[in-house]
Amino acid sequence: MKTMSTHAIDPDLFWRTDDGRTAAERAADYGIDLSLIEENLRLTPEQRIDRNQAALDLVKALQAARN
Amino acid sequence: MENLKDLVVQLGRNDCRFVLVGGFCVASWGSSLLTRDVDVVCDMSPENLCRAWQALEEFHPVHRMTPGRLPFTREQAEAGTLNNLYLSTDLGQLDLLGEIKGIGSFEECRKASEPIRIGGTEIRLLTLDALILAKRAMGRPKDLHAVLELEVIRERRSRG
Repeated sequence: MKTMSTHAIDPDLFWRTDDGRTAAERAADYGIDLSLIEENLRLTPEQRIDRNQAALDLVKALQAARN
Repeated sequence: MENLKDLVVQLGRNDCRFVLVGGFCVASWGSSLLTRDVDVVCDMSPENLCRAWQALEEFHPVHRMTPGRLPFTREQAEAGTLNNLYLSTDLGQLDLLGEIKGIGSFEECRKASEPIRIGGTEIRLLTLDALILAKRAMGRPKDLHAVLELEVIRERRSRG
């Protein structure tokens, strides 16, 4: 079962890189969905920007529909 | 009409000297974080701000932080007194900054940048290492979230 991170915004969580853990482990511990990053890394920068725009457009359409 | 890519391409096509920083740059590197505006560190000389004005003019740029949202004019660009510009345009919100924490001025950002092609135009964006430095220096919760994602991206890239 996927659970949300229970970490507060603890600076140690972000700044420490000497804890023997990988960046992926630290991010996953915070609740970041690594599969979204993996998917983005298969795209070109321009494709990533286009996806950002598509997501923004969807958010705006949903907000407009609610009003 | 809002389109952040078109906004960036418009600046590039008008030979405006800038480096992408902020959320748009984070998204370009592969983060899953959504961004609603474009932040650039810009050569704030009158000549370059005139290029920015020329690029934006048809998209009705206004100072979004000022009462009455006054227009950004060519006269203001020529005056040479602007340090930062917080604009709203028909294509979206655009911040033109003279410097950013962690890296510095436009020239320093340019040294810490690399080119990409967007919409057939070459655009410079902060390197991944420089972006992580800048985001760490900013230190807000949203920046720290971005750092976590960017460090994953750096780890993946270093593995090939």
